[in-house]
Amino acid sequence: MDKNSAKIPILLLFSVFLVATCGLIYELIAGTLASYLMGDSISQFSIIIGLYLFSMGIGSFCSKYFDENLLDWFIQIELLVGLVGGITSSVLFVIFNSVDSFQWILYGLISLTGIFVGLEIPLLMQILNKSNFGFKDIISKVFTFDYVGALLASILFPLVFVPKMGLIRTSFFFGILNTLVALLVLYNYSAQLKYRLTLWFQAIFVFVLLTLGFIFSDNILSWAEATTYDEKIIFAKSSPYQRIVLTRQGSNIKLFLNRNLQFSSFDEYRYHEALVHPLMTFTKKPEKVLILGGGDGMAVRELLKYESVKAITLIDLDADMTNLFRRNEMLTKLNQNALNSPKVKILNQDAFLWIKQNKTLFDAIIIDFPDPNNFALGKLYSNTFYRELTHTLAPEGLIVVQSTSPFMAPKSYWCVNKTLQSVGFKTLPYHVFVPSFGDWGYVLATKNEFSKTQNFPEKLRFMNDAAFEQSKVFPKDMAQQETEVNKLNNQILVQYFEEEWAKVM
Amino acid sequence: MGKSDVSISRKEFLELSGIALLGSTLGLQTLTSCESATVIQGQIVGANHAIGHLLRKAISLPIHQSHQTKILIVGSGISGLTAGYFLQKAGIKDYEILELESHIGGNSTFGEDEARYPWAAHYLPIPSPENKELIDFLAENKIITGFDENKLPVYDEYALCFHPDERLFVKGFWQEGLIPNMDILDGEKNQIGEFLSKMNAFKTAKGNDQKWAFTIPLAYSSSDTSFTDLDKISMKTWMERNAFTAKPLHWYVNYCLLDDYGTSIAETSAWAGIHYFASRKGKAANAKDDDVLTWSEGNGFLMKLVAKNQLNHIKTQRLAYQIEEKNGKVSVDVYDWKTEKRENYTVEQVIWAVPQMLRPYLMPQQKSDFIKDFTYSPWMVANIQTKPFDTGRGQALSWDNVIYEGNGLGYVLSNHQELSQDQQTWQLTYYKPLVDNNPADERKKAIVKTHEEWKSEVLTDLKKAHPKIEESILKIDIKLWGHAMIRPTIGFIHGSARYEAQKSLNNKIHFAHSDLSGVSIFEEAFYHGAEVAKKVISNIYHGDTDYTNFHGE
Repeated sequence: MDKNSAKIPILLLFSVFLVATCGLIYELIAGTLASYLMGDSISQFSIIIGLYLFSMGIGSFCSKYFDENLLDWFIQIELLVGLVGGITSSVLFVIFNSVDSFQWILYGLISLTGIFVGLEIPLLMQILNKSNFGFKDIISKVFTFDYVGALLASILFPLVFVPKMGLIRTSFFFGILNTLVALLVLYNYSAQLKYRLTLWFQAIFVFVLLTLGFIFSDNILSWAEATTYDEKIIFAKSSPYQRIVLTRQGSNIKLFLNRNLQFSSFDEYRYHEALVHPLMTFTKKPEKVLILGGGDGMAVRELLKYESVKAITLIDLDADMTNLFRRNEMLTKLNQNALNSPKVKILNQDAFLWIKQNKTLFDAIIIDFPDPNNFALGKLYSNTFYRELTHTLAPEGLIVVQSTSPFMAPKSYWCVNKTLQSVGFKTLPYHVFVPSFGDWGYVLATKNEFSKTQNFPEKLRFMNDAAFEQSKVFPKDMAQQETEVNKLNNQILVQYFEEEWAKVM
Repeated sequence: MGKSDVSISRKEFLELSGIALLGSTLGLQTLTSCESATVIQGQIVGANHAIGHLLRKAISLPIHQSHQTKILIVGSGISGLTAGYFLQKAGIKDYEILELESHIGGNSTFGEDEARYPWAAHYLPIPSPENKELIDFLAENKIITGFDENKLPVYDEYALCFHPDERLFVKGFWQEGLIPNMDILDGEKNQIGEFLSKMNAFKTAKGNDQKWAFTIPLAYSSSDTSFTDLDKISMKTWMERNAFTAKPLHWYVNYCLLDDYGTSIAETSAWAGIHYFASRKGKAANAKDDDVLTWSEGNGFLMKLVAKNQLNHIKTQRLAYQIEEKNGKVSVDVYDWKTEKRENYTVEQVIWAVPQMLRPYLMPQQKSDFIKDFTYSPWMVANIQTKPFDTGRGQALSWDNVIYEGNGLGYVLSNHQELSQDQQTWQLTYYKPLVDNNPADERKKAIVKTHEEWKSEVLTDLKKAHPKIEESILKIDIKLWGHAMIRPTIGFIHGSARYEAQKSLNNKIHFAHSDLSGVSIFEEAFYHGAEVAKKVISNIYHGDTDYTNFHGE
């Protein structure tokens, strides 16, 4: 043995140790990611472990086809493990929402890593074997380091790496370790390598790539989280009040406010026709109409189908929202440019404060606020707010309130109904099915009688007499129930809403 | 306040008040708190030091102006303003109110910049039906909007404290309500339950004179000794004697007493302690019995209503420094510290609506040994303007947010009653009675602290619940109240001093202030203002002097 060959085992045994540690870490990362993104951790972990071990078997099997330039191959494999293992978690995070076949890509990457890791140890053993070490000694040393590395990995992973670095950064970190092993071997045995130039080039490339990934992993994560919407994001903006996100898949456009779906262009006509038209059929000569919320202009679009409507006042706090739906071509197509109609007056003001000081009477009021999921919004569903509305509603006028889902949140729904009644309104509850939302409820309210004054417009896609008759029927699982009145000093609706949605979320 | 506080002479007082204004520790902050009520906005805003110096000159100044008025009210806190309010209602217009500070309101003082926020008192529990004068006042001012078929008052829904009203931070989590209920033992929970039911029993208890054992106004309470004897022991002793030993319960009761009286469970008399829990018998058509009325500016809202029709009767920046009877009338020497001129008022009737502790200084010729029993607690109030911040786990941000075993009493969200969805800045009012030592020592300590020191004290406390709050803070203003509240210590409420102090002097000088009740709350100040007005009105209309000219104008 020459001077150099004496060094081989120590360096290479250290490689075994690192390779084993990295290999197990990749397996753990994959398992964690799979259960994190897809749920069902028992199946995911089980499949990942099985697949990974099986792939290692394939790698080991393939190792017999490697006869020459073993050190070159070892470095090559090492670099591949580092690259694939290092980027796996960020790739999986980023593609999670944009591909249908996520799990196949996951399994593919796992198999690839498994195969490479499976090649490493047999290759090393071959190298050592050629260096005239006793077979017993090789087996004993290699497996000792292999299993010690595995133990270290499995302990450090949950205790140190996941809490301190997170999955993406851990992944890059171990990719870099693999690359460092390759670089070390490359440096020490440069003379013995046939493809050293190519390998140097590759090693440096992988090292730089993974290091950049490690440094910018926070950015990758936040970008990846932005893609937790199901479809492609075509617009995103944070207004002073909310995060506005538009997505598109095919021709279907969805609007999210603070991650809550507001509409899907595919079926929003159902929601908005049901919101606007029943109200209008009961309103005697509706000329002046008030919309609270509804900055997307869809309700205005429905209102403009009535020639009698002369003036529409829309109160929406968020100017970014109303401007978007006035200017963006794709969106003005959706609302048929309704917000730019000369009949429409848009006021970006706070609804409660505006109502309190308003002196104008309206023939119809459409209330399209977000669901009462916090105490600020809960105020806009209180008896006090509804009482203020009576000062803004013409004596024969009507109100409609979007009132969350009577199926998902029956108590919340009937609480809105009860609260309207508590300030002297007669109510007419009804609900329709909107596929993107589920079964959705509205409440009509008036101080008068509900008597039909006009027919539904003919060109509607969803609402007509028969559909409306049906919508007034509440099956047993959403039947009316006793609730308290929602007041500013009890905010009971927010409590109902939280309890009911907590059950299904 | 120690005995030494009151034993100095008037001359010494006048001389020393200059120093007091410069930051003396003589416990005269209420008097000198005119501009010295240390409002800090990133720094200690200097007191109007000149007043003290010039006051000494005032005595040697010639009288610049002499005024004749029938009635003079000294002090524009709630009791003084209420007295004026009832004088006006009785058709009396010949009166003036003198206020030392440049603004009115006493403990109902509020701040107003981008937001409105209280500097002290900030809520009124819905009053008992028996408190007729207060109910009438609220109805007259549309805080009671009507009465239902059971004659129960219907309150303005914008004034009833919105839900969620109270939350308590215990071990990393905000629970709903202030009574500790998380992470406590069953035995402790049972004790809390028993304690509360005992308090409820006191709520409905009546004495042998058929009066409520505990009620508001306090003067309507029974004089049955089986209840009044409770004034002879401390609340702590009473609780121990009744086997109420649970630590969370003691914390809670102590918290309540500090909050309402600025005295600890060990200092407060058991009668006063039970009064806190048992005196409120409010009933409403649209509120729970224990609901409270509140506004962004706290009781400043009520104060403005009491004051609104008499603003032209009020003169601010006036220090009344000598009151004496002369030739059948009362002569009041006044120093106008704005114009630095001395004025004299010759009046028929004086309504004294400032704390009793000032009597030895303003009326040194009167015997007033009993004044030593009147002691007052010092407070620090911080108004903190913030951007929205992470409000923590558990119950959502509420009106009153208290940290269990915190250093202060927690904070009130002063913008809680705002209706807007768009609240980009929050206003927190943080309260802390200074009770580590006796009041006099605490006043000494408080006056020398820097803004930085107060700020870090407040932040240290708030960070227990909101570790990152500092990043969101825009401004912290601090105000010190030297004599914020009368202290209902053992024996005070049913002792003799309180009765002595209420006696009018020669039917010419009458007293009105919440300290006469021993409990510093709006209702008591209002009651004393109304009572003293009755006396004065009766003197004016039925007295032997000729008041025919009285309706004036």
